[in-house]
Amino acid sequence: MKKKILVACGAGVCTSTVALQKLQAKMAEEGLADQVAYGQCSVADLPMNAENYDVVVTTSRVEGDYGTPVVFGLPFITSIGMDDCVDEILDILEL
Amino acid sequence: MDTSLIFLDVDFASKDELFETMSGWLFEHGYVNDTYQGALARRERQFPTGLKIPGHQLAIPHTDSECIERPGLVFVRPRKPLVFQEMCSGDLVDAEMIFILLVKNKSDQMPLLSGLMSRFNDRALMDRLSSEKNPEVIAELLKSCVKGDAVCLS
Repeated sequence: MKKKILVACGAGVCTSTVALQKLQAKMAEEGLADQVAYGQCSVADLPMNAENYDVVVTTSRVEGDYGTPVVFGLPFITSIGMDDCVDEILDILEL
Repeated sequence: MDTSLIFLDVDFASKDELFETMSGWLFEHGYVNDTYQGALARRERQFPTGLKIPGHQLAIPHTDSECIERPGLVFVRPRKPLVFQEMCSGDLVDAEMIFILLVKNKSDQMPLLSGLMSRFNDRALMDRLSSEKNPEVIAELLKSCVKGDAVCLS
Protein backbone atom coordinates (compact mmCIF):
# COMPACT_ATOMS: atom_id res chain seq x y z
CA MET A 1 0.00 0.00 0.00
CA LYS A 2 1.29 3.46 -0.90
CA LYS A 3 2.17 5.92 1.84
CA LYS A 4 0.15 9.09 1.62
CA ILE A 5 1.56 12.60 1.96
CA LEU A 6 -0.66 15.66 2.27
CA VAL A 7 0.96 18.99 1.36
CA ALA A 8 -0.74 22.13 2.67
CA CYS A 9 -0.28 25.90 2.62
CA GLY A 10 -2.41 28.96 3.30
CA ALA A 11 -4.53 28.75 0.18
CA GLY A 12 -3.45 25.32 -1.02
CA VAL A 13 -2.17 26.90 -4.22
CA CYS A 14 1.17 28.61 -4.16
CA THR A 15 3.85 27.41 -1.78
CA SER A 16 2.28 23.97 -1.36
CA THR A 17 2.51 23.47 -5.13
CA VAL A 18 6.21 24.29 -5.05
CA ALA A 19 6.77 22.06 -2.00
CA LEU A 20 4.86 19.23 -3.63
CA GLN A 21 6.87 19.47 -6.82
CA LYS A 22 10.20 19.43 -5.00
CA LEU A 23 9.09 16.60 -2.74
CA GLN A 24 8.07 14.53 -5.76
CA ALA A 25 11.48 15.15 -7.32
CA LYS A 26 13.23 14.11 -4.11
CA MET A 27 11.16 10.94 -3.81
CA ALA A 28 12.03 10.07 -7.41
CA GLU A 29 15.73 10.58 -6.57
CA GLU A 30 15.35 8.21 -3.64
CA GLY A 31 13.73 5.64 -5.92
CA LEU A 32 10.51 5.84 -3.94
CA ALA A 33 8.24 7.40 -6.54
CA ASP A 34 6.06 4.28 -6.72
CA GLN A 35 5.62 4.00 -2.99
CA VAL A 36 4.02 7.35 -2.21
CA ALA A 37 0.83 9.16 -3.17
CA TYR A 38 0.11 12.85 -2.65
CA GLY A 39 -2.69 15.19 -1.80
CA GLN A 40 -2.78 18.97 -1.60
CA CYS A 41 -5.07 21.28 0.33
CA SER A 42 -5.33 24.56 2.21
CA VAL A 43 -4.52 24.74 5.90
CA ALA A 44 -8.21 25.46 6.55
CA ASP A 45 -9.09 22.09 5.04
CA LEU A 46 -6.51 20.14 7.05
CA PRO A 47 -8.89 19.06 9.84
CA MET A 48 -11.12 17.17 7.43
CA ASN A 49 -8.36 15.75 5.24
CA ALA A 50 -5.40 14.99 7.51
CA GLU A 51 -6.70 11.75 8.99
CA ASN A 52 -6.60 10.09 5.57
CA TYR A 53 -2.85 10.66 5.26
CA ASP A 54 0.32 9.29 6.88
CA VAL A 55 2.06 12.65 7.14
CA VAL A 56 1.21 16.31 6.62
CA VAL A 57 3.84 18.65 5.13
CA THR A 58 2.93 22.30 5.58
CA THR A 59 4.55 25.59 4.64
CA SER A 60 2.29 27.51 7.01
CA ARG A 61 1.98 27.66 10.73
CA VAL A 62 -0.60 25.19 11.95
CA GLU A 63 -2.06 24.64 15.35
CA GLY A 64 -4.01 21.73 16.65
CA ASP A 65 -3.60 17.99 16.57
CA TYR A 66 -4.84 16.31 13.42
CA GLY A 67 -3.90 12.84 14.58
CA THR A 68 -1.32 12.83 11.77
CA PRO A 69 2.34 13.86 12.19
CA VAL A 70 3.12 17.35 10.82
CA VAL A 71 6.43 18.30 9.19
CA PHE A 72 7.25 21.95 8.43
CA GLY A 73 8.13 22.15 4.76
CA LEU A 74 9.88 25.53 4.70
CA PRO A 75 13.08 23.86 3.37
CA PHE A 76 11.23 23.05 0.15
CA ILE A 77 10.74 26.77 -0.39
CA THR A 78 14.22 27.97 0.62
CA SER A 79 16.05 24.82 -0.56
CA ILE A 80 17.98 25.05 2.71
CA GLY A 81 17.93 21.91 4.85
CA MET A 82 15.79 20.10 2.31
CA ASP A 83 17.56 16.74 2.72
CA ASP A 84 17.00 16.76 6.49
CA CYS A 85 13.35 17.54 5.90
CA VAL A 86 13.05 14.66 3.44
CA ASP A 87 14.73 12.35 5.98
CA GLU A 88 12.23 13.41 8.62
CA ILE A 89 9.35 12.59 6.26
CA LEU A 90 10.88 9.24 5.31
CA ASP A 91 11.34 8.36 9.00
CA ILE A 92 7.69 9.06 9.69
CA LEU A 93 6.66 6.99 6.68
CA GLU A 94 9.12 4.25 7.66
CA LEU A 95 10.59 4.20 4.15
CA MET B 1 13.01 43.92 -21.37
CA ASP B 2 9.93 45.04 -19.49
CA THR B 3 10.89 46.65 -16.21
CA SER B 4 7.48 47.99 -15.23
CA LEU B 5 7.09 45.52 -12.33
CA ILE B 6 10.46 46.33 -10.80
CA PHE B 7 10.52 48.92 -8.01
CA LEU B 8 13.90 49.90 -6.59
CA ASP B 9 14.81 52.11 -3.62
CA VAL B 10 11.24 53.00 -2.80
CA ASP B 11 10.45 54.53 0.59
CA PHE B 12 7.90 52.56 2.56
CA ALA B 13 7.34 53.14 6.27
CA SER B 14 6.02 49.63 6.80
CA LYS B 15 4.75 46.48 5.19
CA ASP B 16 1.22 47.91 5.44
CA GLU B 17 2.24 50.96 3.44
CA LEU B 18 3.90 48.71 0.86
CA PHE B 19 0.70 46.69 0.54
CA GLU B 20 -1.44 49.79 0.24
CA THR B 21 0.74 51.50 -2.33
CA MET B 22 1.41 48.42 -4.42
CA SER B 23 -2.21 47.27 -4.34
CA GLY B 24 -3.27 50.68 -5.63
CA TRP B 25 -0.69 50.59 -8.41
CA LEU B 26 -1.55 47.01 -9.41
CA PHE B 27 -5.26 47.84 -9.43
CA GLU B 28 -4.73 50.92 -11.61
CA HIS B 29 -2.67 48.88 -14.04
CA GLY B 30 -5.19 46.06 -14.31
CA TYR B 31 -3.25 43.32 -12.52
CA VAL B 32 -5.66 42.86 -9.60
CA ASN B 33 -9.27 43.56 -8.71
CA ASP B 34 -10.58 45.67 -5.85
CA THR B 35 -10.60 42.76 -3.39
CA TYR B 36 -6.84 42.30 -3.65
CA GLN B 37 -5.57 44.71 -1.00
CA GLY B 38 -7.81 43.38 1.76
CA ALA B 39 -7.18 39.78 0.78
CA LEU B 40 -3.41 40.27 0.62
CA ALA B 41 -3.25 41.87 4.07
CA ARG B 42 -5.49 39.20 5.62
CA ARG B 43 -3.45 36.41 4.08
CA GLU B 44 -0.19 37.89 5.33
CA ARG B 45 -1.57 38.21 8.87
CA GLN B 46 -2.86 34.65 8.85
CA PHE B 47 -0.08 33.03 6.84
CA PRO B 48 3.09 35.12 6.88
CA THR B 49 5.45 34.89 3.88
CA GLY B 50 8.80 36.12 5.19
CA LEU B 51 11.84 33.94 4.47
CA LYS B 52 15.42 33.87 5.73
CA ILE B 53 18.08 32.59 3.38
CA PRO B 54 21.85 32.79 3.89
CA GLY B 55 22.82 36.47 3.75
CA HIS B 56 19.36 37.77 2.88
CA GLN B 57 15.86 38.15 4.18
CA LEU B 58 12.88 38.44 1.90
CA ALA B 59 9.14 37.98 1.59
CA ILE B 60 6.86 36.49 -1.04
CA PRO B 61 3.42 37.98 -0.34
CA HIS B 62 0.59 36.46 -2.34
CA THR B 63 -3.11 35.74 -2.11
CA ASP B 64 -5.95 33.89 -3.78
CA SER B 65 -6.15 33.70 -7.56
CA GLU B 66 -9.67 35.17 -7.49
CA CYS B 67 -8.12 38.58 -6.74
CA ILE B 68 -5.73 38.47 -9.70
CA GLU B 69 -6.63 39.76 -13.17
CA ARG B 70 -3.23 39.47 -14.83
CA PRO B 71 -0.39 37.21 -13.70
CA GLY B 72 3.04 38.58 -12.93
CA LEU B 73 6.02 38.81 -10.63
CA VAL B 74 6.58 42.13 -8.90
CA PHE B 75 10.03 42.83 -7.46
CA VAL B 76 10.27 45.51 -4.78
CA ARG B 77 13.50 46.57 -3.11
CA PRO B 78 12.60 49.13 -0.45
CA ARG B 79 15.13 51.72 0.70
CA LYS B 80 14.91 50.29 4.19
CA PRO B 81 14.02 46.67 5.02
CA LEU B 82 10.39 46.06 5.97
CA VAL B 83 9.36 43.90 8.91
CA PHE B 84 7.53 40.71 7.95
CA GLN B 85 6.97 37.49 9.85
CA GLU B 86 8.62 34.28 8.79
CA MET B 87 6.57 31.54 7.22
CA CYS B 88 5.99 28.68 9.69
CA SER B 89 7.90 30.15 12.66
CA GLY B 90 6.36 33.63 12.79
CA ASP B 91 9.81 35.04 13.69
CA LEU B 92 10.48 38.60 12.55
CA VAL B 93 12.13 39.05 9.18
CA ASP B 94 13.69 42.31 7.89
CA ALA B 95 12.76 41.88 4.27
CA GLU B 96 15.12 43.70 1.91
CA MET B 97 13.56 42.15 -1.19
CA ILE B 98 9.88 41.54 -1.69
CA PHE B 99 8.63 39.29 -4.48
CA ILE B 100 4.92 39.87 -4.92
CA LEU B 101 3.47 36.82 -6.66
CA LEU B 102 0.42 37.43 -8.82
CA VAL B 103 -0.78 33.89 -9.38
CA LYS B 104 -3.81 33.57 -11.60
CA ASN B 105 -3.51 29.98 -12.71
CA LYS B 106 -1.27 27.70 -10.71
CA SER B 107 -0.50 25.18 -13.44
CA ASP B 108 0.50 27.87 -15.94
CA GLN B 109 2.63 29.60 -13.36
CA MET B 110 4.49 26.68 -11.88
CA PRO B 111 7.63 27.42 -13.93
CA LEU B 112 7.71 30.90 -12.42
CA LEU B 113 7.05 29.83 -8.85
CA SER B 114 9.27 26.79 -8.71
CA GLY B 115 11.92 28.51 -10.83
CA LEU B 116 12.06 31.47 -8.49
CA MET B 117 11.95 29.43 -5.31
CA SER B 118 14.56 26.97 -6.50
CA ARG B 119 16.99 29.89 -6.79
CA PHE B 120 16.63 31.19 -3.23
CA ASN B 121 19.72 29.16 -2.33
CA ASP B 122 21.73 30.69 -5.18
CA ARG B 123 23.80 33.12 -3.14
CA ALA B 124 25.40 34.88 -6.12
CA LEU B 125 22.02 35.51 -7.73
CA MET B 126 20.45 36.73 -4.50
CA ASP B 127 23.45 39.02 -3.82
CA ARG B 128 23.02 40.48 -7.29
CA LEU B 129 19.26 40.96 -6.92
CA SER B 130 19.82 42.76 -3.63
CA SER B 131 22.41 45.20 -5.00
CA GLU B 132 21.94 45.59 -8.77
CA LYS B 133 20.97 49.13 -9.73
CA ASN B 134 19.85 48.56 -13.30
CA PRO B 135 16.22 47.40 -13.52
CA GLU B 136 16.90 45.88 -16.94
CA VAL B 137 19.48 43.55 -15.42
CA ILE B 138 17.10 42.60 -12.61
CA ALA B 139 14.38 41.84 -15.13
CA GLU B 140 16.85 39.61 -17.03
CA LEU B 141 17.91 37.84 -13.84
CA LEU B 142 14.31 37.21 -12.80
CA LYS B 143 13.53 35.93 -16.24
CA SER B 144 16.50 33.60 -16.07
CA CYS B 145 15.03 32.05 -12.93
CA VAL B 146 12.16 30.74 -14.95
CA LYS B 147 12.96 27.56 -16.77
CA GLY B 148 11.70 27.30 -20.30
CA ASP B 149 9.35 29.96 -21.57
CA ALA B 150 8.68 32.90 -19.32
CA VAL B 151 5.02 32.10 -18.99
CA CYS B 152 3.97 35.01 -16.90
CA LEU B 153 6.75 37.55 -16.76
CA SER B 154 4.56 40.03 -18.53
